[in-house]
Amino acid sequence: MNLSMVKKDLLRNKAINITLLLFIVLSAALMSIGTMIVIQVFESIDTMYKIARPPHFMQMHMGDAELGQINDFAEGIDYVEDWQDIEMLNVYGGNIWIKKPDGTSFSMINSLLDLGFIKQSEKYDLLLNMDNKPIYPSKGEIGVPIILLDSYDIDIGDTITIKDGDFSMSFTVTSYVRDSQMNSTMCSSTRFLVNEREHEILKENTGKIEHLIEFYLKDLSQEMKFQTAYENAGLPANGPAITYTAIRLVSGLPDIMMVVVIILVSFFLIFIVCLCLRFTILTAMEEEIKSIGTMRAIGISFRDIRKLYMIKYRALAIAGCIIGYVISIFANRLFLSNITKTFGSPQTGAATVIIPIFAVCIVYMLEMHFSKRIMKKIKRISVVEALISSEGNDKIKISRAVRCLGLQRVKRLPVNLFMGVRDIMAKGKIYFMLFFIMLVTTSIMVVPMNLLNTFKSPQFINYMGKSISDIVISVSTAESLTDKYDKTVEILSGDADVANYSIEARTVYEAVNKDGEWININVDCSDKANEELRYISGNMPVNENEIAISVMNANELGASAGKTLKMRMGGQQTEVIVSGIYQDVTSGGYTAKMTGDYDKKAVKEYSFSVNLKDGVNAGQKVDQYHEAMGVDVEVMDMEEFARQTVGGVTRQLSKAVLAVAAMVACFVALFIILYLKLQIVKEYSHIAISKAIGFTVLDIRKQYLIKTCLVSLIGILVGTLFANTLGEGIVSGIIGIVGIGISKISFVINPVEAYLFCPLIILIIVVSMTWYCSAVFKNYNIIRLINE
Amino acid sequence: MKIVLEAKALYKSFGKEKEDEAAVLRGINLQIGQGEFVVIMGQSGSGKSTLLYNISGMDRLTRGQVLFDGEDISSLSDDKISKIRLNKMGFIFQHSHLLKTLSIKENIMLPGIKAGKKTRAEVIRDAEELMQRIGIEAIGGHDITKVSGGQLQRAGICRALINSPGIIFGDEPTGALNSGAALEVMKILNDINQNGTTLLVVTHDSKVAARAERVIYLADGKIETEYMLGKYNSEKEDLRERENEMNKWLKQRGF
Repeated sequence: MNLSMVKKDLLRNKAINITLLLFIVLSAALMSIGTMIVIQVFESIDTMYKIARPPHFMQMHMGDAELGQINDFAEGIDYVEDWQDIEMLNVYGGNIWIKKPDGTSFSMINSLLDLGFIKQSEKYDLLLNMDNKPIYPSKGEIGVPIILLDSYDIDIGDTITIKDGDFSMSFTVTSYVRDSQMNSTMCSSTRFLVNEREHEILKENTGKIEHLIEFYLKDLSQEMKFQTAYENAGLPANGPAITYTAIRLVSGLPDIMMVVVIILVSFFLIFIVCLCLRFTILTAMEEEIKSIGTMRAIGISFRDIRKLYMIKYRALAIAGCIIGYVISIFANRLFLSNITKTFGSPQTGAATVIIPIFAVCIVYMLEMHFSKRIMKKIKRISVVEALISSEGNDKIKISRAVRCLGLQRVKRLPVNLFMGVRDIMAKGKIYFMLFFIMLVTTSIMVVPMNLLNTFKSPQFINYMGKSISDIVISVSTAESLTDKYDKTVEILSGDADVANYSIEARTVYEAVNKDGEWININVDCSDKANEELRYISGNMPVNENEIAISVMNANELGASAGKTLKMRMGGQQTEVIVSGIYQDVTSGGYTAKMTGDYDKKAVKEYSFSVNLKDGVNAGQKVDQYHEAMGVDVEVMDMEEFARQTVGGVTRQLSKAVLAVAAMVACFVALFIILYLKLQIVKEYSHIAISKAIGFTVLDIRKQYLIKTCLVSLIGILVGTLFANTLGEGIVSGIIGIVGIGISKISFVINPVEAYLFCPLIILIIVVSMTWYCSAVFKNYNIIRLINE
Repeated sequence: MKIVLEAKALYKSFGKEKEDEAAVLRGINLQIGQGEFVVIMGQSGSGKSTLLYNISGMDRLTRGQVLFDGEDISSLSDDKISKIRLNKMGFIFQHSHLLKTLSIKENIMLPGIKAGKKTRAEVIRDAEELMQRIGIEAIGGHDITKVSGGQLQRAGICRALINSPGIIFGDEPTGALNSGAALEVMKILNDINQNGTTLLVVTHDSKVAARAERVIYLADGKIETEYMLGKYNSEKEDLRERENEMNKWLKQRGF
């Protein structure tokens, strides 16, 4: 009997039930996709890492390295399993030329990544082909890192020629290379793979060798301890260092950012589905209050009645969750292109199947729990109350406030506008739901868009521990650091196009961490404080005994603004005050800033922030400096640097934003259909009476348009304001959990997108759906409506 | 007497059934003169309400013609009929069918303001006059859930009168009222008619019929017969006699 009742009900309210089903499908599918991607990202990374074996700690070192010394050090530490040295030959981008089969050619001069050439290692840190198998190029063959394909048009079969003066050597591109560690635009280098013999020839004729000193530990948890030990041992360390955990995080970051958005949206959606269920159930109960009364009168218990009504919602939820899960299996492929490209096709393991099912089950349980709670209202309805209730007994109270907008008081308001506004005021509760859902959906659309815009914005450079300037010059060649520094200062001082420049010296000092151990920290010292950085507490350092530290360092050192920090600088122990904590995504998020004098011997790198005079072309200046300063000095156009560095994240985030926007658009359309269908059912008699007393179908449609759009518009506007203000807090919280060095983000808002484009799209959908749904009034027969 | 409403060979069937045998109304021909008070009676299912709704343009005919003030309203668009309903017709239903979001007075004013023939001040004045005339001036500001069924029905009558229509259609206007309230409504209907408004009322109640000028008896979708009672004059005539006369006639019809 129950099944036939469900069947009848499903058929009777087809549009409403289909819409509800679609909502459940959407929420379940998104939840499933989100969890699936998380699992697949890490499974893919792990599968690839098993073959490629990236190091647990890697120190890059430019210049000569005393390998015997490193070997002695490694043998002296019991938890080091193995180590290796890879010689990476850094070649200036302007010396690398790609020739297409049609004869066109271009150089890689614009590359902001250091372009290195290596030969395949024996057993660790292997470069893989697209089938995740180690590549061993033959003579004349070259493997191109896939990360470069986003910026350069390089196909299999193209010719790559390395030229340096009279020297020239050509290779044919035979494979694309998957690199387990240098696979993100957030890394500073990328690696080409060539044959061992040709690597030797290249070494003799061009470029500079950079050592990748890689260590493998027995226990991964010792990586931080090992890093400090290595740095304190006075071993080659002219270059960045990175740990396994950071490599893994940086590799997965673009996809994780996308997952954050998807899961966040699915949670919002579940919440909204619950609201829709509430609205639908309450409307159904209102319609069927007499049946409920009759059932209670003949002695059917509350539990049995609830069970009877729950069958339908249970059936919808089960069907929705199953369909959602099935859709997610296919739809998640849309989001996997980056994972597949970078790490290889994800394996479908048990976790990939079971955990999303588990997530979908949670969606089901949440929705059922919510429905049951609403059904409790049946318990509160007395038999008599239910039996004497009629369709006309809606609890509408015209409050004093509503009366202020009385027909006799408003002299000029057009009747349809009056009717619409009056309806909103009289039935506030029902419209509040519409308002709230518009607020939430607008936020869902605008917040990720703002996040994307922030990542894309030039101001994002502040989150990268740098002040905004036109050009960044980095001098880090150990052997001739002072010479290069002097030369750079000379060039900049003598250049009339330069408005001003500041210098930052990166030194390594020691500090006591929260466990009382001495660890090394990178400190950027400058004569000018970094006021533009994103401080989450405190301020920039002003005095010499002050230090500003990054969020990640603050956690590591257990320090907060105002506290003192024990440090060793130039061999002397001292105490410095933490002036503030700022956000930084560079150097794994571990940096610090000081002002005033610094130990020149401890400097590893100089960084110049150059501002050009108005009208000077930064791109041309970069080329000019490249020429003048030589290949050892990195010269970067800052906007381009920021764009390329976070390019991977923004690309993945763009996909998520697009998917979210499309989903929100569908959702709003479906919600308006559901909402209006339910409203129209409830307002049958209102429509009929209006028609009977002389309102035309067009009048009634206008009234619906006014009330739906007015409330939606307010919801959209408040949602837009919410997203553009408080949305930052939500995103900051989530990004803080991810741990990339940002704990408080300030949105860089594109006003056209955030204040005009998004709200307008939603409003257009609301208007068109309302107009579409209200078209049905044409077919309504007054008599049938009056008799309803 | 000028004919204000005329039905010619009116057929109505529901659903897919188009055959005449299945029709609810089967070839009704009817004329209503200006100022007349006509009652339609008949057994349940005889097609009384269907006739009322079709003749007033609230429902669409299957076949035939309805002329209102000489204009064929059966061929007009929904919007045009709506305008005629707004400006020239008034409706009183069994239940008052007032809008819940408006107060009593606003419900009465609404068609007046919608029609736009008078200023808002004039509509307010007319509504207040009507409410006073019908005895509900004290409840104008009330919610419709706060007053009795009789008061609601009187408010419904005021709403039907606000645009001074030429004709008022009533579908069981006393059907949901107790005897006291029903009597009040009947008196009001007589007053309205005496002021020159044409009335076409469907009822089961012989007391209502006794106040009419002409009673049409419907059976199986056809007009079986008519009974001319003549204009009721409350000062000269005894209503009880008219009622008895009516009851006798209805009894002959098996009512």
